[in-house]
Amino acid sequence: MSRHEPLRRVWPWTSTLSSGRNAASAVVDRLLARAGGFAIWQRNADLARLLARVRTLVLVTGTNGKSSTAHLIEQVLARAGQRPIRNRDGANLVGGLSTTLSRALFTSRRPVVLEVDEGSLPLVIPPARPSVFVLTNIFRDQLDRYGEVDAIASRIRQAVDATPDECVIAANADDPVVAHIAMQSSRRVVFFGLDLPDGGAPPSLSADSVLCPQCNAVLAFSRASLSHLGHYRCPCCDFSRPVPAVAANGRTLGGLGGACLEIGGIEVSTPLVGIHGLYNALAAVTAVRILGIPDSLSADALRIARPMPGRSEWIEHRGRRVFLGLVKNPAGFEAMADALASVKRPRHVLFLLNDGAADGRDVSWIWDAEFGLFQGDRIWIGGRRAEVLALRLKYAGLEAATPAMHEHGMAFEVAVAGTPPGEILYALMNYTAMLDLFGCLRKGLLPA
Amino acid sequence: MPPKRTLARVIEIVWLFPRHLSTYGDVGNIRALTYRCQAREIECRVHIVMPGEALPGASIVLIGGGQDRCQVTVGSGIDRVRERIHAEVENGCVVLGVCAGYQLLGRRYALLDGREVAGLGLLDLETTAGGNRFIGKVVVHPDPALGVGAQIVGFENHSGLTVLGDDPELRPLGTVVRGHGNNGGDGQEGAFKGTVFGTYLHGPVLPNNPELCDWLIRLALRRQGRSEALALLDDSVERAAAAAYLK
Repeated sequence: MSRHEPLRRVWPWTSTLSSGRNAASAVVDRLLARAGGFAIWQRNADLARLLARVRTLVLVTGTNGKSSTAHLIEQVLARAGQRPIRNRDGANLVGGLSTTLSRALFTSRRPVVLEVDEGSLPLVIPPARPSVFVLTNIFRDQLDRYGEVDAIASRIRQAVDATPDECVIAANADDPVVAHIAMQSSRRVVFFGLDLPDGGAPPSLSADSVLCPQCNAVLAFSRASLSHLGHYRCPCCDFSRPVPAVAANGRTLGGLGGACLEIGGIEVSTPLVGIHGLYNALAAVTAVRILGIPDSLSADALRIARPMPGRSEWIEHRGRRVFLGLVKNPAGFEAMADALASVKRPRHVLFLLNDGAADGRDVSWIWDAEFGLFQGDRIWIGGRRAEVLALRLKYAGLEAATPAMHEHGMAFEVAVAGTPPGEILYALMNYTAMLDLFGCLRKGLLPA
Repeated sequence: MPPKRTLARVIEIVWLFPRHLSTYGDVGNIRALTYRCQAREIECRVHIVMPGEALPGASIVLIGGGQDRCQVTVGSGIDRVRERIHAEVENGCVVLGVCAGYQLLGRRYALLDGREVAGLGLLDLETTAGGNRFIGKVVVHPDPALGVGAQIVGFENHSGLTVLGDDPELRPLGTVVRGHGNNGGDGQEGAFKGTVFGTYLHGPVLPNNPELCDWLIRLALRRQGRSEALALLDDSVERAAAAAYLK
């Protein structure tokens, strides 16, 4: 048993997706829904004016870790007694943002934390005037929406340039593309990064951004943490990883039992899972430090940090412990496989894959993911694209325990039933598959 | 027990510039080739070639997809292997170019900003960067001269507009019945000539289309003077996965 008791939740829960609203904001939500949040955003110049009344606005963007980072920032600010307002999971597109912001109109003294989808950035900044702009990372993600990784980078670059002069950028030093965007901006930048033990495998051949953003030479990595994140320098020009102001010594990395890290000289044990959890923690600590929150307070919040629903979250179901993990692109898959590497084997694993608009219609990325790491485990597959998972498993030399199942609740129940009581089921899924599974669980499930 | 004295069948796969050109699950094509070879006890060796390195002897050369920036960057690497790859193809080497890799099989790729990337010149075709991106599922009715079944399925994501030249031996891979294909105008997708194939169907085009994968393996074996039929494999999982592209 780890030092950290994993957070448990027993179904059915009152979903945090819709909880935490007061009556006034519910009224606003309904009004906005009737008028169409998006249309209001575009039409209503008042909204932009009212936005200026939000004293403290923290924006979080990047392909991975937006929700979890925003969630952590919210937890630290709440601990500081600031009653933050955050846009809810899945509401990071423009319509959802405007709903959250309109709620803030009534409460302009409270800080607002918004995660912003890369695609929505040009619509959000301006008019939003963030005090802190957090850049987590840029991995290949939903390329059928954005075309190329460089296109995502270019949107983020434009958004950074459109922030007010006094905005401070919190940027991931370990991501060469993010670091380059931050270095080129005229805003004040606070970098965060992970101090890793020397060595580690170099980024895989399918890692995204291993070319120097300045001169296109192949970057040299002395330490690699996740996909193209790590300690890098260009062998041909002067581009290299900036020294982060907020650095963590990952003492215990990657395990499911949480991590032990050191931030600003303070030892912190956190239940956050995996290397991605560490990066999210660093991003959050950096953002709140810019707002003047002392590290000690962040450390207190990290010690009891709760994950987002479905993001490395533990639940119990029919006497089994179930680990819910969001895996939506090769980098996320790599991080999760790493986090699960040290658990007892054989593992019981359920993969759910959808191709909804919010996932990306193109699921080719699964071919870049190393399913071979699940050799010897008992595997189930489901979701709207379950058949392509079956094919991916086949070419990894694996076979699912049962045929592909489209229905998420059914796949989940079959996997739970196939997991002996007392054992753990690891359920890994992409975004809309997670929403579909939550929907099934909320409805009370199928007969066993 | 004395070792079986059968002549080993070996396929040498060269994966060209994967650090630069490997964006949409291109490694899936390597996985499919090796899996389907090994299922027939054909040994598969994969060699990775980075820009600046010489091309080793190859039965199959794979070139994957990548961003414009990466394509420009590999320009000198292309120059380095051009002569050798032509010689290999003369000898029956199979080449598959996907997306950016397809564009590089042609004469040149003209970018929006006026720059040009000189291709390998294996196929008589040219590509110009377009303002729009063609993104979505694709279904192709392949040229009947190819023994690759009734359809090829996949996903495209490109802004390049490719037009085939007058070379009488050059033919489109097939006719688009869903999606945009080479340029969204002439209803054609991909191109092939002899043992050289190009397509915009990115990433896992071979696992999604096992008959196309086997066609390439057969061509590669023929180069070694081996024309025996490939053992049939159970492709029901492949067919079920491909069905999603028809919905």
